[in-house]
Amino acid sequence: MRKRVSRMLAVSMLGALAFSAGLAAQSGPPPVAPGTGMDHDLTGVWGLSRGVRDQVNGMRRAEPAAPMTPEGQAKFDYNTHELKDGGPITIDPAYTCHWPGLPHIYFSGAYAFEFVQTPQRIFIFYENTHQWREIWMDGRKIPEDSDPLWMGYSVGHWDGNDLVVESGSFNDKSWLDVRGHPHSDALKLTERYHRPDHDHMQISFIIDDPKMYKGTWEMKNNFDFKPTWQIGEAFCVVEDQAQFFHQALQNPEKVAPDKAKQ
Amino acid sequence: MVNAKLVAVLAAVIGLAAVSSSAWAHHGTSSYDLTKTISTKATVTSLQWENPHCVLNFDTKDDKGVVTHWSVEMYNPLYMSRAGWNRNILKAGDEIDITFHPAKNGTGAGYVRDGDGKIVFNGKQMSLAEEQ
Repeated sequence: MRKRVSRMLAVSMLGALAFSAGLAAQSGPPPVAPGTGMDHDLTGVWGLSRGVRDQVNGMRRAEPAAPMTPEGQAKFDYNTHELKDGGPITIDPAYTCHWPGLPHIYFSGAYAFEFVQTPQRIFIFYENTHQWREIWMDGRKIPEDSDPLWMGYSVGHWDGNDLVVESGSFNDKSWLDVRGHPHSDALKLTERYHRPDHDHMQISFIIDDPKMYKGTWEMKNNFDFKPTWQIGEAFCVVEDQAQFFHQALQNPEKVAPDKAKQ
Repeated sequence: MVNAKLVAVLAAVIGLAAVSSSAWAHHGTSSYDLTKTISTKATVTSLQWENPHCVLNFDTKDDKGVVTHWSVEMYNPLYMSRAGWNRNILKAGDEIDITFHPAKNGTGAGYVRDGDGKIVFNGKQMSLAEEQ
């Protein structure tokens, strides 16, 4: 009788142990369900979150967001010298249809972008100036001998459910943002695409550019999932830019462009 | 001397143009007098449906019958589409009520935006906000 009780106790303890082990196994990262958008899947169209635009405009100022090297400070001072005179920045290369580059393309306008994923590569298609980039997901490294590129060379991996993208091989022709922050060809950019829930995405951009900045620093932006949107065409056309510029600057004595056509 | 003048004019054009170039986040709103708001009846002369920005052109008439022409910046065509607009939604001759900010330089340019801007056509307020 006593043996039977002991055996039962042992079986119960083993069962309890097995159960608790199961619980322990389940207390790790929650399982991801295919199709929920939380399973290493950022596929779809994303648009700028409301409220972000005012933050961006509100950030316009002539002070850099991070401590700069003398070379970086000189470039920043030049890029923002109009702000100190009370005027707007007018010399952003993107204004004359140069490619915005990264991460500038995420900070210049209410444009959407779309993720398309394949096993080897993730593609991002940007409405802004109708550009695209690829992120290699096959484990390769950024080549050391790549030509300098506007959008850089990007490799990515998943960290939990975050997509982490490291990019290098940039040229030095674009700005980091609309605020005049420069970058050099030494820029190493680390992006983290974090999807806290199905409908939202937070992107962190870590800037590492020892030629321009004394240390690494971070930029952020937020986007919303837009399942009903399609990305559209928004090329930067020099003539259209010029026409708009003229119109915005029309002199009172001049005939407005639409009237001139009549 | 001529060259210097030309350079100065070009610089001014490019500079001021860039104020209104590209999308909202590029140029900000510093070229517009956001402390000033004009609310008026207007007659549309055209809707330019182009990048980098749509532009609504219209005439206003004061009490003495003096006509003033305005060219008012809106958002880019993709944004406007998502706010329910299309390139034919307003035509020459359409009567509207509009609330907008004039440019600081007093050139007849302006800016109508979501929040404090308003366009009413056929008794209905037209959305200036992207669908969410």
